Amino acid sequence: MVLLKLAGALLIITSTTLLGFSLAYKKRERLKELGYLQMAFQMLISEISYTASPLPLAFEGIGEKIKEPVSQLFIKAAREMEKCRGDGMGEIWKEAVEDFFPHSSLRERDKELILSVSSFLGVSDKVHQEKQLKLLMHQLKEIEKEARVSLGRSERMCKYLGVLGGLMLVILLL
Amino acid sequence: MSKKILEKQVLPLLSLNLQKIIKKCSPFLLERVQEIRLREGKPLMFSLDRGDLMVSIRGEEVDRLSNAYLVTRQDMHNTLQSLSSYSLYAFEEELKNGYLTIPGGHRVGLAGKAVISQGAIKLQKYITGINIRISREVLGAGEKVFKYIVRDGEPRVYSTLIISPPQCGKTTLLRDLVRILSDGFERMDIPFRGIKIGLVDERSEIAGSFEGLPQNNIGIRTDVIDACPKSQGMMLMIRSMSPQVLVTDEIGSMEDALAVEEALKCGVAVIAAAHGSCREELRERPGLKRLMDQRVFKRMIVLSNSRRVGTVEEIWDEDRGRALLQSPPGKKL
Repeated sequence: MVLLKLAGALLIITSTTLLGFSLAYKKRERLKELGYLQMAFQMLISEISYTASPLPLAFEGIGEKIKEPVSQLFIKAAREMEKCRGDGMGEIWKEAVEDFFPHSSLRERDKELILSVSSFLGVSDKVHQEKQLKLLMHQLKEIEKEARVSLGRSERMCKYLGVLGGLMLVILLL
Repeated sequence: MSKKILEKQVLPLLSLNLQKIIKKCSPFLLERVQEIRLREGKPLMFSLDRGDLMVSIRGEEVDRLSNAYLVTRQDMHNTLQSLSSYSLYAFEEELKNGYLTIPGGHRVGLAGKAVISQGAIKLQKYITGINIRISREVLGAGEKVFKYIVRDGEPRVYSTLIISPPQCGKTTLLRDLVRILSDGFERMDIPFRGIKIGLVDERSEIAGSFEGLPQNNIGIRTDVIDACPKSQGMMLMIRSMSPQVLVTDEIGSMEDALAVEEALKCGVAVIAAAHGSCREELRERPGLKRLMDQRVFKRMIVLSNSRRVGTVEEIWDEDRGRALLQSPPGKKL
Protein backbone atom coordinates (compact mmCIF):
# COMPACT_ATOMS: atom_id res chain seq x y z
CA MET A 1 0.00 0.00 0.00
CA VAL A 2 2.71 2.41 0.99
CA LEU A 3 4.59 1.47 -2.10
CA LEU A 4 1.57 2.28 -4.26
CA LYS A 5 1.13 5.66 -2.59
CA LEU A 6 4.80 6.44 -3.11
CA ALA A 7 4.54 5.57 -6.77
CA GLY A 8 1.44 7.75 -7.15
CA ALA A 9 3.11 10.68 -5.43
CA LEU A 10 6.15 10.33 -7.63
CA LEU A 11 3.95 10.29 -10.71
CA ILE A 12 2.16 13.47 -9.66
CA ILE A 13 5.35 15.30 -8.90
CA THR A 14 6.97 14.29 -12.18
CA SER A 15 4.01 15.37 -14.24
CA THR A 16 3.58 18.77 -12.58
CA THR A 17 7.30 19.35 -12.85
CA LEU A 18 7.20 18.54 -16.52
CA LEU A 19 4.23 20.86 -16.92
CA GLY A 20 6.15 23.66 -15.23
CA PHE A 21 9.18 23.09 -17.39
CA SER A 22 7.18 22.96 -20.58
CA LEU A 23 5.49 26.23 -19.68
CA ALA A 24 8.89 27.74 -19.13
CA TYR A 25 10.09 26.30 -22.42
CA LYS A 26 7.13 27.78 -24.21
CA LYS A 27 7.94 31.22 -22.88
CA ARG A 28 11.49 30.88 -24.11
CA GLU A 29 10.26 29.64 -27.49
CA ARG A 30 7.92 32.59 -27.80
CA LEU A 31 10.84 34.91 -27.34
CA LYS A 32 12.72 33.10 -30.09
CA GLU A 33 9.77 33.21 -32.44
CA LEU A 34 9.31 36.93 -31.84
CA GLY A 35 12.93 37.27 -32.89
CA TYR A 36 12.39 35.22 -36.05
CA LEU A 37 9.32 37.23 -36.92
CA GLN A 38 11.32 40.40 -36.72
CA MET A 39 13.99 38.90 -38.90
CA ALA A 40 11.37 37.85 -41.43
CA PHE A 41 9.77 41.27 -41.62
CA GLN A 42 13.17 42.90 -41.83
CA MET A 43 13.85 40.74 -44.89
CA LEU A 44 10.47 41.70 -46.29
CA ILE A 45 11.30 45.37 -45.90
CA SER A 46 14.46 44.98 -47.92
CA GLU A 47 12.73 42.80 -50.52
CA ILE A 48 10.09 45.46 -50.96
CA SER A 49 12.21 48.56 -50.96
CA TYR A 50 15.24 47.34 -52.91
CA THR A 51 14.08 44.71 -55.33
CA ALA A 52 10.32 45.36 -55.29
CA SER A 53 9.77 41.63 -55.68
CA PRO A 54 6.12 40.65 -55.42
CA LEU A 55 4.92 39.07 -52.18
CA PRO A 56 4.69 35.43 -53.30
CA LEU A 57 8.32 35.51 -54.36
CA ALA A 58 9.45 37.44 -51.30
CA PHE A 59 7.54 35.14 -48.95
CA GLU A 60 9.04 32.05 -50.51
CA GLY A 61 12.53 33.45 -50.03
CA ILE A 62 11.79 34.32 -46.43
CA GLY A 63 10.26 30.91 -45.81
CA GLU A 64 13.46 29.28 -46.96
CA LYS A 65 15.72 31.39 -44.80
CA ILE A 66 13.79 31.61 -41.54
CA LYS A 67 13.60 28.76 -39.04
CA GLU A 68 10.54 26.68 -38.23
CA PRO A 69 7.81 27.25 -37.28
CA VAL A 70 7.76 30.89 -38.38
CA SER A 71 8.82 29.80 -41.87
CA GLN A 72 5.54 27.88 -42.22
CA LEU A 73 3.58 31.09 -42.01
CA PHE A 74 5.33 32.55 -45.03
CA ILE A 75 5.52 29.36 -47.05
CA LYS A 76 1.81 28.70 -46.59
CA ALA A 77 0.88 32.27 -47.52
CA ALA A 78 3.08 32.17 -50.63
CA ARG A 79 1.54 28.88 -51.71
CA GLU A 80 -1.99 30.17 -51.26
CA MET A 81 -1.25 33.36 -53.15
CA GLU A 82 -0.09 31.39 -56.15
CA LYS A 83 -3.32 29.44 -56.28
CA CYS A 84 -5.30 32.27 -57.91
CA ARG A 85 -8.16 31.94 -55.46
CA GLY A 86 -9.68 35.26 -56.33
CA ASP A 87 -9.98 36.57 -52.81
CA GLY A 88 -8.02 39.15 -50.91
CA MET A 89 -4.81 39.18 -48.96
CA GLY A 90 -6.87 39.33 -45.77
CA GLU A 91 -8.32 35.84 -46.20
CA ILE A 92 -5.07 34.30 -47.32
CA TRP A 93 -3.05 35.76 -44.47
CA LYS A 94 -5.66 34.80 -41.93
CA GLU A 95 -5.60 31.21 -43.12
CA ALA A 96 -1.84 31.10 -42.99
CA VAL A 97 -1.82 32.53 -39.47
CA GLU A 98 -4.47 30.09 -38.26
CA ASP A 99 -2.50 27.25 -39.77
CA PHE A 100 0.68 28.38 -38.17
CA PHE A 101 -0.59 29.10 -34.69
CA PRO A 102 -1.08 25.57 -33.36
CA HIS A 103 2.61 24.95 -34.06
CA SER A 104 3.76 28.12 -32.45
CA SER A 105 4.37 29.27 -28.91
CA LEU A 106 3.11 32.76 -29.53
CA ARG A 107 0.29 34.21 -27.52
CA GLU A 108 -3.15 35.41 -28.49
CA ARG A 109 -2.11 39.04 -28.39
CA ASP A 110 0.83 38.35 -30.68
CA LYS A 111 -1.64 36.80 -33.08
CA GLU A 112 -3.67 39.99 -33.24
CA LEU A 113 -0.58 41.90 -34.22
CA ILE A 114 0.43 39.41 -36.90
CA LEU A 115 -3.10 39.35 -38.28
CA SER A 116 -3.10 43.14 -38.60
CA VAL A 117 -0.33 42.85 -41.21
CA SER A 118 -2.77 41.94 -43.96
CA SER A 119 -4.54 45.26 -43.65
CA PHE A 120 -1.66 47.07 -45.32
CA LEU A 121 0.55 44.44 -46.91
CA GLY A 122 0.76 44.88 -50.66
CA VAL A 123 -1.93 47.48 -51.06
CA SER A 124 0.16 50.62 -51.28
CA ASP A 125 3.40 51.99 -52.64
CA LYS A 126 6.90 51.14 -51.46
CA VAL A 127 7.32 54.09 -49.14
CA HIS A 128 4.09 53.36 -47.33
CA GLN A 129 4.82 49.63 -47.10
CA GLU A 130 8.18 50.37 -45.58
CA LYS A 131 6.68 52.72 -43.03
CA GLN A 132 4.01 50.26 -42.00
CA LEU A 133 6.46 47.39 -41.72
CA LYS A 134 8.81 49.49 -39.63
CA LEU A 135 5.96 50.29 -37.30
CA LEU A 136 5.20 46.60 -37.05
CA MET A 137 8.84 45.86 -36.29
CA HIS A 138 8.74 48.43 -33.56
CA GLN A 139 5.69 46.82 -32.00
CA LEU A 140 7.26 43.38 -32.20
CA LYS A 141 10.39 44.73 -30.55
CA GLU A 142 8.36 46.17 -27.70
CA ILE A 143 6.60 42.87 -27.14
CA GLU A 144 9.91 41.05 -27.26
CA LYS A 145 11.41 43.43 -24.71
CA GLU A 146 8.50 42.89 -22.34
CA ALA A 147 8.71 39.16 -22.80
CA ARG A 148 12.42 39.17 -22.14
CA VAL A 149 12.06 41.15 -18.92
CA SER A 150 9.38 38.87 -17.58
CA LEU A 151 11.04 35.72 -18.82
CA GLY A 152 13.77 35.58 -16.13
CA ARG A 153 11.25 35.71 -13.33
CA SER A 154 8.45 33.73 -14.81
CA GLU A 155 10.65 30.98 -16.19
CA ARG A 156 12.01 30.19 -12.76
CA MET A 157 8.57 30.60 -11.26
CA CYS A 158 7.06 28.12 -13.68
CA LYS A 159 9.69 25.53 -12.85
CA TYR A 160 9.37 26.03 -9.06
CA LEU A 161 5.63 26.08 -9.22
CA GLY A 162 5.65 22.85 -11.12
CA VAL A 163 7.75 21.04 -8.52
CA LEU A 164 6.18 22.67 -5.47
CA GLY A 165 2.66 22.38 -6.83
CA GLY A 166 3.22 18.68 -7.27
CA LEU A 167 4.51 18.37 -3.73
CA MET A 168 1.54 20.25 -2.36
CA LEU A 169 -0.89 18.08 -4.23
CA VAL A 170 0.80 15.01 -2.84
CA ILE A 171 0.61 16.34 0.74
CA LEU A 172 -3.03 17.21 0.31
CA LEU A 173 -3.84 13.78 -1.01
CA LEU A 174 -1.89 11.92 1.66
CA MET B 1 -8.99 29.48 -79.05
CA SER B 2 -9.90 32.73 -77.43
CA LYS B 3 -12.03 30.96 -74.85
CA LYS B 4 -9.19 28.72 -73.78
CA ILE B 5 -6.84 31.66 -73.40
CA LEU B 6 -9.45 33.51 -71.42
CA GLU B 7 -10.05 30.61 -69.05
CA LYS B 8 -6.42 29.79 -68.55
CA GLN B 9 -4.76 33.15 -68.37
CA VAL B 10 -7.31 35.78 -67.52
CA LEU B 11 -10.01 34.19 -65.38
CA PRO B 12 -7.73 33.04 -62.54
CA LEU B 13 -6.77 36.65 -61.96
CA LEU B 14 -10.28 37.90 -61.34
CA SER B 15 -12.14 37.95 -58.05
CA LEU B 16 -13.87 34.71 -57.14
CA ASN B 17 -17.33 36.14 -57.81
CA LEU B 18 -16.38 37.27 -61.28
CA GLN B 19 -14.67 33.96 -61.99
CA LYS B 20 -17.89 32.14 -61.18
CA ILE B 21 -20.03 34.41 -63.32
CA ILE B 22 -17.78 34.32 -66.35
CA LYS B 23 -17.46 30.55 -66.14
CA LYS B 24 -21.21 30.37 -66.60
CA CYS B 25 -21.12 32.37 -69.83
CA SER B 26 -21.74 30.50 -73.07
CA PRO B 27 -18.65 29.35 -74.97
CA PHE B 28 -19.95 31.19 -78.01
CA LEU B 29 -19.82 34.46 -76.09
CA LEU B 30 -16.45 33.84 -74.47
CA GLU B 31 -14.95 33.06 -77.87
CA ARG B 32 -15.73 36.61 -78.95
CA VAL B 33 -14.82 38.65 -75.90
CA GLN B 34 -12.25 41.33 -76.65
CA GLU B 35 -12.36 43.23 -73.41
CA ILE B 36 -13.67 42.61 -69.93
CA ARG B 37 -14.67 45.87 -68.31
CA LEU B 38 -15.02 46.31 -64.59
CA ARG B 39 -16.25 49.55 -63.12
CA GLU B 40 -17.05 49.80 -59.46
CA GLY B 41 -20.81 49.84 -58.87
CA LYS B 42 -21.47 49.49 -62.59
CA PRO B 43 -22.50 46.44 -64.59
CA LEU B 44 -20.00 43.81 -65.61
CA MET B 45 -19.49 44.31 -69.34
CA PHE B 46 -17.79 42.61 -72.25
CA SER B 47 -16.64 44.35 -75.39
CA LEU B 48 -17.07 42.47 -78.62
CA ASP B 49 -16.80 43.25 -82.31
CA ARG B 50 -20.38 44.35 -82.40
CA GLY B 51 -20.21 46.61 -79.36
CA ASP B 52 -20.50 45.94 -75.67
CA LEU B 53 -22.97 43.99 -73.60
CA MET B 54 -23.94 43.58 -69.97
CA VAL B 55 -23.71 40.29 -68.14
CA SER B 56 -26.06 38.99 -65.47
CA ILE B 57 -25.09 37.05 -62.36
CA ARG B 58 -25.98 33.86 -64.23
CA GLY B 59 -23.53 34.70 -66.98
CA GLU B 60 -26.18 35.63 -69.52
CA GLU B 61 -26.20 38.58 -71.83
CA VAL B 62 -28.85 41.06 -70.65
CA ASP B 63 -30.28 44.29 -72.03
CA ARG B 64 -31.61 45.85 -68.86
CA LEU B 65 -29.32 47.46 -66.36
CA SER B 66 -31.45 46.13 -63.51
CA ASN B 67 -30.69 42.53 -64.52
CA ALA B 68 -26.96 43.01 -64.87
CA TYR B 69 -24.41 42.02 -62.27
CA LEU B 70 -23.00 45.12 -60.61
CA VAL B 71 -19.31 44.96 -59.89
CA THR B 72 -18.70 45.44 -56.17
CA ARG B 73 -15.91 47.19 -54.38
CA GLN B 74 -14.80 43.78 -53.12
CA ASP B 75 -14.58 42.52 -56.72
CA MET B 76 -12.42 45.46 -57.69
CA HIS B 77 -10.23 45.08 -54.65
CA ASN B 78 -9.68 41.36 -55.01
CA THR B 79 -9.12 41.57 -58.74
CA LEU B 80 -6.58 44.30 -58.30
CA GLN B 81 -4.77 42.33 -55.61
CA SER B 82 -4.74 39.25 -57.77
CA LEU B 83 -3.59 41.11 -60.86
CA SER B 84 -0.70 42.60 -58.94
CA SER B 85 0.20 39.32 -57.18
CA TYR B 86 -0.93 40.96 -53.96
CA SER B 87 1.91 43.45 -54.34
CA LEU B 88 0.89 46.83 -55.67
CA TYR B 89 4.23 48.28 -54.61
CA ALA B 90 5.89 46.12 -57.27
CA PHE B 91 3.84 47.85 -59.95
CA GLU B 92 4.38 51.51 -59.15
CA GLU B 93 5.61 52.34 -62.61
CA GLU B 94 2.70 50.47 -64.16
CA LEU B 95 0.16 52.24 -61.96
CA LYS B 96 1.69 55.51 -63.00
CA ASN B 97 1.31 54.65 -66.67
CA GLY B 98 -2.16 53.27 -66.10
CA TYR B 99 -1.71 49.71 -67.29
CA LEU B 100 0.05 46.48 -66.57
CA THR B 101 0.70 43.39 -68.63
CA ILE B 102 -0.17 39.98 -67.28
CA PRO B 103 1.25 36.62 -68.40
CA GLY B 104 -0.07 35.87 -71.84
CA GLY B 105 0.47 39.46 -72.94
CA HIS B 106 -2.97 40.69 -71.99
CA ARG B 107 -3.09 44.33 -71.11
CA VAL B 108 -4.93 45.56 -68.09
CA GLY B 109 -5.85 49.24 -68.09
CA LEU B 110 -6.40 50.94 -64.75
CA ALA B 111 -8.15 54.16 -63.87
CA GLY B 112 -8.50 55.63 -60.43
CA LYS B 113 -7.47 58.69 -58.51
CA ALA B 114 -4.15 60.08 -59.64
CA VAL B 115 -1.62 61.11 -57.03
CA ILE B 116 0.32 64.02 -58.42
CA SER B 117 3.83 64.92 -57.43
CA GLN B 118 5.63 67.84 -59.06
CA GLY B 119 3.17 68.09 -61.89
CA ALA B 120 3.41 64.45 -62.98
CA ILE B 121 1.34 61.43 -62.04
CA LYS B 122 3.16 59.64 -59.27
CA LEU B 123 0.75 56.77 -58.98
CA GLN B 124 -2.93 55.95 -58.93
CA LYS B 125 -5.00 54.89 -55.99
CA TYR B 126 -8.65 53.98 -55.47
CA ILE B 127 -8.78 52.11 -58.75
CA THR B 128 -12.40 52.15 -59.91
CA GLY B 129 -12.03 51.09 -63.51
CA ILE B 130 -10.29 48.00 -64.84
CA ASN B 131 -10.20 47.07 -68.50
CA ILE B 132 -8.74 43.71 -69.43
CA ARG B 133 -7.92 43.45 -73.10
CA ILE B 134 -7.62 39.91 -74.26
CA SER B 135 -4.65 39.77 -76.52
CA ARG B 136 -5.13 37.32 -79.28
CA GLU B 137 -2.43 36.02 -81.42
CA VAL B 138 -3.85 35.40 -84.83
CA LEU B 139 -1.14 33.42 -86.53
CA GLY B 140 -1.53 34.03 -90.22
CA ALA B 141 -3.10 37.47 -89.91
CA GLY B 142 -0.16 39.00 -91.74
CA GLU B 143 0.17 36.46 -94.53
CA LYS B 144 -2.16 38.31 -96.85
CA VAL B 145 -0.38 41.65 -96.68
CA PHE B 146 3.09 40.23 -96.29
CA LYS B 147 3.77 39.99 -100.02
CA TYR B 148 3.00 43.67 -100.52
CA ILE B 149 5.68 44.91 -98.16
CA VAL B 150 8.67 42.78 -99.18
CA ARG B 151 10.92 43.80 -102.02
CA ASP B 152 10.96 41.38 -104.90
CA GLY B 153 13.75 38.87 -104.69
CA GLU B 154 15.48 40.60 -101.82
CA PRO B 155 15.45 39.86 -98.15
CA ARG B 156 14.35 43.43 -97.49
CA VAL B 157 11.10 45.13 -96.74
CA TYR B 158 9.56 48.50 -97.47
CA SER B 159 8.99 50.89 -94.61
CA THR B 160 5.35 50.44 -93.82
CA LEU B 161 2.74 52.26 -91.83
CA ILE B 162 -0.36 50.48 -90.60
CA ILE B 163 -3.26 52.89 -90.19
CA SER B 164 -6.27 51.84 -88.19
CA PRO B 165 -8.79 53.01 -85.62
CA PRO B 166 -8.55 51.33 -82.22
CA GLN B 167 -9.80 47.76 -81.93
CA CYS B 168 -9.38 46.92 -85.60
CA GLY B 169 -6.53 44.46 -85.30
CA LYS B 170 -3.63 46.83 -85.78
CA THR B 171 -1.44 45.26 -83.13
CA THR B 172 -2.45 41.75 -84.14
CA LEU B 173 -1.38 42.41 -87.73
CA LEU B 174 1.84 44.05 -86.62
CA ARG B 175 2.67 41.12 -84.38
CA ASP B 176 2.06 38.55 -87.06
CA LEU B 177 4.09 40.51 -89.60
CA VAL B 178 6.95 40.52 -87.12
CA ARG B 179 6.68 36.78 -86.74
CA ILE B 180 6.60 36.11 -90.50
CA LEU B 181 9.43 38.51 -91.34
CA SER B 182 11.54 37.15 -88.53
CA ASP B 183 10.96 33.45 -89.16
CA GLY B 184 10.99 33.74 -92.91
CA PHE B 185 8.39 32.47 -95.30
CA GLU B 186 8.71 29.34 -97.30
CA ARG B 187 6.01 29.47 -99.91
CA MET B 188 7.09 28.82 -103.44
CA ASP B 189 5.77 32.01 -104.95
CA ILE B 190 7.32 34.35 -102.37
CA PRO B 191 10.24 32.68 -100.62
CA PHE B 192 11.62 34.98 -97.97
CA ARG B 193 14.55 34.43 -95.69
CA GLY B 194 13.98 35.78 -92.21
CA ILE B 195 15.55 39.08 -91.27
CA LYS B 196 16.69 40.61 -87.99
CA ILE B 197 13.98 42.59 -86.32
CA GLY B 198 14.24 45.09 -83.50
CA LEU B 199 10.94 45.37 -81.73
CA VAL B 200 10.40 48.43 -79.57
CA ASP B 201 7.41 47.42 -77.52
CA GLU B 202 6.62 50.48 -75.46
CA ARG B 203 3.29 49.21 -74.19
CA SER B 204 4.15 45.52 -74.02
CA GLU B 205 1.35 44.76 -76.43
CA ILE B 206 3.13 43.29 -79.41
CA ALA B 207 5.34 40.76 -77.70
CA GLY B 208 3.26 40.76 -74.55
CA SER B 209 6.37 40.47 -72.42
CA PHE B 210 6.05 39.44 -68.82
CA GLU B 211 9.16 40.07 -66.78
CA GLY B 212 10.95 40.80 -70.03
CA LEU B 213 10.16 37.49 -71.71
CA PRO B 214 7.90 37.64 -74.79
CA GLN B 215 4.72 35.62 -74.33
CA ASN B 216 3.64 35.80 -77.93
CA ASN B 217 5.25 34.17 -80.92
CA ILE B 218 7.27 36.94 -82.51
CA GLY B 219 9.72 34.88 -84.51
CA ILE B 220 13.25 33.64 -84.09
CA ARG B 221 15.18 36.70 -85.25
CA THR B 222 13.40 39.28 -83.13
CA ASP B 223 14.98 41.23 -80.30
CA VAL B 224 12.56 42.96 -78.00
CA ILE B 225 13.06 45.97 -75.84
CA ASP B 226 10.10 46.02 -73.53
CA ALA B 227 8.33 49.00 -71.97
CA CYS B 228 10.84 51.44 -73.40
CA PRO B 229 9.90 54.85 -74.82
CA LYS B 230 9.80 54.50 -78.61
CA SER B 231 12.34 57.11 -79.62
CA GLN B 232 14.95 55.99 -77.10
CA GLY B 233 14.26 52.33 -77.75
CA MET B 234 14.70 52.74 -81.50
CA MET B 235 18.07 54.43 -81.09
CA LEU B 236 19.15 51.80 -78.61
CA MET B 237 18.22 49.03 -81.00
CA ILE B 238 20.06 50.60 -83.92
CA ARG B 239 23.19 51.13 -81.86
CA SER B 240 23.29 47.76 -80.20
CA MET B 241 21.35 45.10 -82.07
CA SER B 242 21.87 45.97 -85.77
CA PRO B 243 18.28 45.26 -86.84
CA GLN B 244 17.24 45.25 -90.50
CA VAL B 245 13.75 46.31 -89.59
CA LEU B 246 12.54 48.29 -86.62
CA VAL B 247 8.99 47.65 -85.52
CA THR B 248 7.03 49.82 -83.18
CA ASP B 249 3.46 50.47 -82.23
CA GLU B 250 1.47 53.69 -82.45
CA ILE B 251 3.76 56.47 -83.50
CA GLY B 252 2.47 60.01 -83.53
CA SER B 253 4.58 62.60 -81.76
CA MET B 254 7.35 64.70 -83.25
CA GLU B 255 9.86 62.76 -81.19
CA ASP B 256 8.71 59.51 -82.74
CA ALA B 257 8.95 61.04 -86.19
CA LEU B 258 12.52 62.15 -85.61
CA ALA B 259 13.46 58.70 -84.37
CA VAL B 260 11.93 57.11 -87.47
CA GLU B 261 13.89 59.50 -89.68
CA GLU B 262 17.06 58.68 -87.83
CA ALA B 263 16.46 54.98 -88.31
CA LEU B 264 15.91 55.43 -92.03
CA LYS B 265 19.14 57.38 -92.31
CA CYS B 266 20.89 54.37 -90.83
CA GLY B 267 19.40 52.22 -93.55
CA VAL B 268 16.95 50.46 -91.31
CA ALA B 269 13.39 49.99 -92.52
CA VAL B 270 10.60 50.87 -90.12
CA ILE B 271 7.26 49.19 -89.71
CA ALA B 272 4.95 51.15 -87.47
CA ALA B 273 1.31 51.65 -86.69
CA ALA B 274 -0.71 54.81 -86.18
CA HIS B 275 -4.23 55.60 -85.07
CA GLY B 276 -6.45 56.90 -87.84
CA SER B 277 -9.13 55.82 -90.23
CA CYS B 278 -7.58 56.93 -93.53
CA ARG B 279 -4.31 58.25 -94.90
CA GLU B 280 -5.43 61.88 -95.10
CA GLU B 281 -6.32 61.96 -91.44
CA LEU B 282 -2.72 61.43 -90.42
CA ARG B 283 -1.67 64.82 -91.75
CA GLU B 284 -3.47 66.47 -88.88
CA ARG B 285 -0.72 65.37 -86.55
CA PRO B 286 2.55 67.26 -86.92
CA GLY B 287 4.83 64.28 -86.35
CA LEU B 288 3.08 62.11 -88.88
CA LYS B 289 2.64 64.98 -91.31
CA ARG B 290 6.40 65.44 -91.34
CA LEU B 291 6.90 61.79 -92.17
CA MET B 292 4.17 61.83 -94.82
CA ASP B 293 5.66 64.93 -96.45
CA GLN B 294 8.99 63.19 -96.72
CA ARG B 295 7.30 60.12 -98.15
CA VAL B 296 9.03 57.98 -95.63
CA PHE B 297 6.57 55.11 -95.66
CA LYS B 298 6.61 53.28 -98.96
CA ARG B 299 3.59 51.18 -98.08
CA MET B 300 0.53 52.12 -96.10
CA ILE B 301 -2.00 49.60 -94.94
CA VAL B 302 -5.42 50.87 -93.87
CA LEU B 303 -7.47 48.63 -91.61
CA SER B 304 -11.07 48.77 -90.47
CA ASN B 305 -13.59 46.43 -88.92
CA SER B 306 -16.19 46.98 -91.64
CA ARG B 307 -16.55 43.27 -92.34
CA ARG B 308 -14.69 41.87 -89.37
CA VAL B 309 -11.76 42.85 -87.23
CA GLY B 310 -8.69 43.36 -89.34
CA THR B 311 -10.35 44.03 -92.70
CA VAL B 312 -7.72 45.42 -95.04
CA GLU B 313 -9.30 48.45 -96.71
CA GLU B 314 -6.33 49.54 -98.75
CA ILE B 315 -2.67 48.95 -99.36
CA TRP B 316 -1.07 52.06 -100.77
CA ASP B 317 2.13 52.24 -102.77
CA GLU B 318 3.66 55.64 -102.07
CA ASP B 319 6.29 55.51 -104.83
CA ARG B 320 3.82 54.86 -107.59
CA GLY B 321 1.06 56.83 -105.94
CA ARG B 322 -1.59 54.18 -106.30
CA ALA B 323 -3.34 51.51 -104.32
CA LEU B 324 -2.04 47.96 -104.68
CA LEU B 325 -5.11 46.53 -103.06
CA GLN B 326 -8.42 48.08 -102.34
CA SER B 327 -11.50 46.62 -100.78
CA PRO B 328 -14.59 46.82 -103.04
CA PRO B 329 -16.19 50.24 -102.45
CA GLY B 330 -19.68 48.83 -102.18
CA LYS B 331 -18.81 46.94 -99.06
CA LYS B 332 -17.29 49.90 -97.26
CA LEU B 333 -19.11 51.36 -94.33
